[in-house]
Amino acid sequence: MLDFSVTFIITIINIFILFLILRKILFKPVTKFIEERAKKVQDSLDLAEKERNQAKGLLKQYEDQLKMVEDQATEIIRSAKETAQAEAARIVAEGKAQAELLIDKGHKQLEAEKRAAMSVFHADAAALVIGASSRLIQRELSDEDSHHQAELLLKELSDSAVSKPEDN
Amino acid sequence: MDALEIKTIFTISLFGTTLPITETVIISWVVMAILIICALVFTRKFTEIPKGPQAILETMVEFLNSFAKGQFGSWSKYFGYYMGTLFLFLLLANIIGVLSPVEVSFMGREFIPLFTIAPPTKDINVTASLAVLTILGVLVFGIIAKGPLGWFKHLLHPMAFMLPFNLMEYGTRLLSLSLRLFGNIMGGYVLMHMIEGLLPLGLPMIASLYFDFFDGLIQAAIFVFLSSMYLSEALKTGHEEE
Repeated sequence: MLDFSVTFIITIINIFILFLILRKILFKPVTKFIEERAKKVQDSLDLAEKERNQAKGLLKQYEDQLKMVEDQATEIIRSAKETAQAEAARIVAEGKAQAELLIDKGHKQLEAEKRAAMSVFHADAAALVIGASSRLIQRELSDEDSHHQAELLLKELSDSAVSKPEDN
Repeated sequence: MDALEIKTIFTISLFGTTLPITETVIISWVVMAILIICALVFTRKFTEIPKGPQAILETMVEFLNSFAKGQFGSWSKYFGYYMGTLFLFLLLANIIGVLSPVEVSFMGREFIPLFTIAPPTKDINVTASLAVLTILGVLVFGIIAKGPLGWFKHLLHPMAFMLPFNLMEYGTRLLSLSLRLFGNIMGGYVLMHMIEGLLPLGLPMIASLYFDFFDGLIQAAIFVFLSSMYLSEALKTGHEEE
């Protein structure tokens, strides 16, 4: 039962051979495989992390750009509004000035017409007065005379009037 | 009790001496062949995402690697794979007996099988040689790791009068390692033979479940764990012992 034999030596050789073979075909390849896969996973994780950081940076950059653009747009709109307001004010002022000019012109015209009408009236009135007075005094006055008379009369009349004709 | 005898199958003439090749050696070779073939088959189609046998294999190897790292530290790449090999060999060697065809007497007729498969570990030569390897490793690598002076100091640890006991430990560990495995497997083998003789067909399976499978697994694990522990103890340098 307990007889030692050459089996003892053979077993030692066996286990060493088995150890070498299994190390070569089982333990080392599997270990290598596991390590490589772990490395691969780690690498892809690292890469993902890197890319995420990049994306974050890009996002921030884009956000900043967007903000800048928005600011610019606001600025453009504001300046456009200002320009438009200034333009509108200018147009209104111009219109006002033109209107005032027109009104002024109208006034002046009115004045001239009034004056023309006045002079016509003066002439008519003088003729009337001359006619009346010549009839009254039963004599023809000379033209100048009568005119002079009429003028005098008119002066009196116009002195009592409100609006005085200027240079006559 | 011819079951206890180890038959010599054939002899080899080598250097003028005859080497008897016993059934133990033959079955050992069968065990080795099975292990190598399994290793080749299972590691053939490795994919990125492990499935089925690959997942089991990876789990085993990873467990072995982490176990070796914990036990042997920087020496793990030398001893981890040896312990793995030892465990696989012992496991298969312990339970390969279940493949053996048995003698059956049925309705007064005897069926005598052409061959039987006995576990190689029921041969004291196998268990003793493996135990000797372990103890030699403990001795040699202990001296290498600690340095001769450190190793000698370790023998005087914790006190000088412990020296003979510390030296004796090598012998007792050698004996206990080899005899525990041998005794367990031999006992189980003998018991199974008796049970097979006594009980009708089919019933010995229940006993076989314990004596062949469970005991075989436990003994293989115990042998490897103890070997690892002795070795890691030997590899520890002075700082780690305190």
